[in-house]
Amino acid sequence: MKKLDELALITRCVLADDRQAFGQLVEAYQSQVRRFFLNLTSGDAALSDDLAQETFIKAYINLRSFKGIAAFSTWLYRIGYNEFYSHSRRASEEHLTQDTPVEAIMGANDNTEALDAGLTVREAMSRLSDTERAAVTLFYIEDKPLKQVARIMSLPEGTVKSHLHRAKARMSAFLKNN
Amino acid sequence: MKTEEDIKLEALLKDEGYHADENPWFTSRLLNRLPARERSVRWVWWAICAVAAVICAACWWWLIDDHDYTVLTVRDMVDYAIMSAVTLVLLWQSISVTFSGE
Repeated sequence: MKKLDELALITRCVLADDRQAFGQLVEAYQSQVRRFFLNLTSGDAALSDDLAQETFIKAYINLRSFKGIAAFSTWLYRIGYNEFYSHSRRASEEHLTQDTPVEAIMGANDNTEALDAGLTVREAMSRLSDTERAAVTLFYIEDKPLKQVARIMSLPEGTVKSHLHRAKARMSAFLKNN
Repeated sequence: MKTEEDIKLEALLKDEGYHADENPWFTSRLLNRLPARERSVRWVWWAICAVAAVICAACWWWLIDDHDYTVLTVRDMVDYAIMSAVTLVLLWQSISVTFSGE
């Protein structure tokens, strides 16, 4: 979608509460946003759709705060990343209260013998930390430049570089062993 | 700047990573879940249009009343052109506010 068309749709949403215009924006970005969450949640389709829905609802509510300086997709990813971050924090708190043994979580995906190449890559991704996985997804899969990744994740560029470097090393080691 | 290793990893992740198929229900489900937004913005916009319409009508009245019909100057033509443009924009805005949204 062209930036001008995008801005026209956003203006219609903000000034006239035009939901059809917002629907067009959702149509344009839903696949990207859902793919982003699928990679972050290691393929949990139901959770990805829920997070994507929440992201778009928050975008709709806060559309007036969109200044148009950054690209709309960057702004959307930023909301999405915050949504995922809040979700994983809540989930880890629940995990801690349930007192799940760490070995049970770590060993849940250890059946690597039956995995094919695609599953091995996904497995390698799932072994990264949430922050590393988000950086890898945004940089390699969503093709966002380092500066935008840093903006989306609210981190300095150097920190994002470190996460990417560490993630690459961990993924390479895992893929070599499998 | 992506290195050769980065490009290989990118290709691998794009091929073997997760892909989201088009979900035809996603947008309609989302639009049904959107919260009702306060109408204040719309009313503010209506108020602005109403005030602008009054000002516009007053300007037209002043322009027509003040005009000497025996002479048509360039300035008159510019004044009429500007007033016509302003009126058209105002009409378009009022119509779009009336018929857009739900």
